[in-house]
Amino acid sequence: MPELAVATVVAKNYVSFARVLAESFLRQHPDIPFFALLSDEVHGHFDPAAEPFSLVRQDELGIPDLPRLRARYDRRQMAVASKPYPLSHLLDRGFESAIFLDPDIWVLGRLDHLFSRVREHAVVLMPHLLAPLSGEDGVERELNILRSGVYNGGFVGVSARPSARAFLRWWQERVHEHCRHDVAHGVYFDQRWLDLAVVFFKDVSIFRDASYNVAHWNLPERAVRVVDDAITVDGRPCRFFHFSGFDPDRPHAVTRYSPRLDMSNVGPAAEVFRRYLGLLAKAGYQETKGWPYAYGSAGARDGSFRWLHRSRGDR
Amino acid sequence: MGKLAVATVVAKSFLSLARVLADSFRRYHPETPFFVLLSDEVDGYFDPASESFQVLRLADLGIPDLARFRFHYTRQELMYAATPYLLTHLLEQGFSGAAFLKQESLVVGELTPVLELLGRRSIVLTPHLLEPLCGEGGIERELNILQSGVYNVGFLGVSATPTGRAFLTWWRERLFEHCRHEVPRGIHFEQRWLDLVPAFFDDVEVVRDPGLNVAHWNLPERKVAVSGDDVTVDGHPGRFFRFSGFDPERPDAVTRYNDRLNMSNVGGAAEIFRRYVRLLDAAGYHETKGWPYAYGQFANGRPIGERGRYLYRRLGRRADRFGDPFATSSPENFFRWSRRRVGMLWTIKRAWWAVRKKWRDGLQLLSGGR
Repeated sequence: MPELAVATVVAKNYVSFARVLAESFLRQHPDIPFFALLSDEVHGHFDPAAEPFSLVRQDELGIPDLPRLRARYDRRQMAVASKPYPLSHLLDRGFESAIFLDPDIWVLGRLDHLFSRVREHAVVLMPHLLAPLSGEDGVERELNILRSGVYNGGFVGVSARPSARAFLRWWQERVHEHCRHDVAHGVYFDQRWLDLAVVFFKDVSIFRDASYNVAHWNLPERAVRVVDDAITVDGRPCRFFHFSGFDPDRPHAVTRYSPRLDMSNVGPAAEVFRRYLGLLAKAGYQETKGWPYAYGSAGARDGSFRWLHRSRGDR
Repeated sequence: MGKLAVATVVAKSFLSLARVLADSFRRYHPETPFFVLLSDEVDGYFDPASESFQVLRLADLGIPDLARFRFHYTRQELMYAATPYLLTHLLEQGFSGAAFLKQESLVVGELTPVLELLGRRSIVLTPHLLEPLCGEGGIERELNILQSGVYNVGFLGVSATPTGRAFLTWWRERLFEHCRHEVPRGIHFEQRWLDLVPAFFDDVEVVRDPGLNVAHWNLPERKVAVSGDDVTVDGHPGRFFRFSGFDPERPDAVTRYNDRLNMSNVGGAAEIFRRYVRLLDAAGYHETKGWPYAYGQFANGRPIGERGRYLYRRLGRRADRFGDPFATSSPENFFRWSRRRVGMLWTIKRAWWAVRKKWRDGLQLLSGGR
């Protein structure tokens, strides 16, 4: 059995993203198994056997109270709250290390450096920002990160050690109850909890490398260059790009989270977004985006129940 | 390892706390110099030369635009915001490392292990909590920490390395304007900013020692045993206690931030609180607590108030035209401007209320006067 596995999580309207991620990952690391947890049901919309990823169903993961959770959380919250489960699932299946990647990531280079860090530590986290920000909006951008969490939930690496198990158990419990948008109370979906993980668990390593996890929150500081097929960051090969908040139907906007950024002011990174858009299109974005969520507000029971549980700021 | 300095910050109404802290620290570390930054003026209330520590003044620290800094913060905010300036000053004096202890602390054992870290690391942080909380209220307490910051400024160490200095430069810049209690914005005084430190700087050590920073936020998990001078926490040597939110005049309550805790349910820690009250008494708590704050009012004695500070902050650099914001004698001063502005706002508000009342009266007339 290979010692490491990678997983993502999607509802089926995001299947095209998972395809792009899985294909880009497997191109770099064809021997490492890639799983996608479906926080939804297939309902005949696609054939799991024909996908580049191995599909994992929520029912396989032993998520406690799953029906209640499905009623309480909307599609996005449900996907996010499921994140810690594939990690423990993969460790349970005997993998020595497991890595979670958000579905809106595009892998551009080999991740060996990151993998060896994950093997050496119980938990590996990746900060949004690697250095203080300067410039006029530096303070506001740092405050944004303080509100949403210092470490980005788009990547989490764990190894089969007691402290990683303890971390996953705790994170699962926390997102089970509190996976919502309530920054005034210290909650931002799954992510702010990670700020505490750094002090709560032994052997947590903070991975600080500018060629990983390039995204809207750090784009202004990272010099992206595109020459033919090579995409570099600060002069080194880019490892993965994260298209957080990018809407393929509004391809001029970089992200819904930062109206200041658009394709005309992010320099050569705009080309990376165009290429990603092309890959999504080929992976069936237009088809999959309309696939309905199995636990959506079809029933009145569902809708009212979720409304009751909804807190300020929730979508 | 080079020479270290340890310091705290107080306004003069908290001078007795600084006395207790300094004395307790010196007991275990007589060779290490202890400094107290006064974020206030002496104004004849005490004699700095007869204190057992060296008193530093804000004016000694080379803070740019000091008048603005003093003016736009409250007493509490200013104490907290001064922290990185104090640490920077100590490194500039040639100390190889500087540690900060918060005013309302009592050293009960040697701090040697954590001070020694400063010989090897650029930044030393201490967390509020060391492990997940279980049981009822556990999640709420964790959320409280997420709102106020994962690391606690009860202890903070910096060494004179490029990384240590870069950290202080950044923290000073942030705290010049943003040391306030604005939790929904992501600000909790000086403390929330520290959450970013392990991401922004390498060479950061997070010390997980249960003997440090024993306080209301972790007391339910820490077993304190006191036997004479010997204090242990979870079987480890006790190092220092924090009395955040503790009111010596309500000695049965542990803290105003958590009413579930009182002296009957915190075990051996109650004895430390009792000792602390006695030490404060002996250090002149009842005398110093009433000493007035020098930067709470304009030169003419009128209080600045939250509204005055708010207006001043809102002006940003445009407030520079007033010069010293405390001054009230110059022809164009902030005091006069802000009173006019406040007066204008009141006039507008009153006018709006009058219009609204007329409108409602009119509606009532139309609907038959019911």
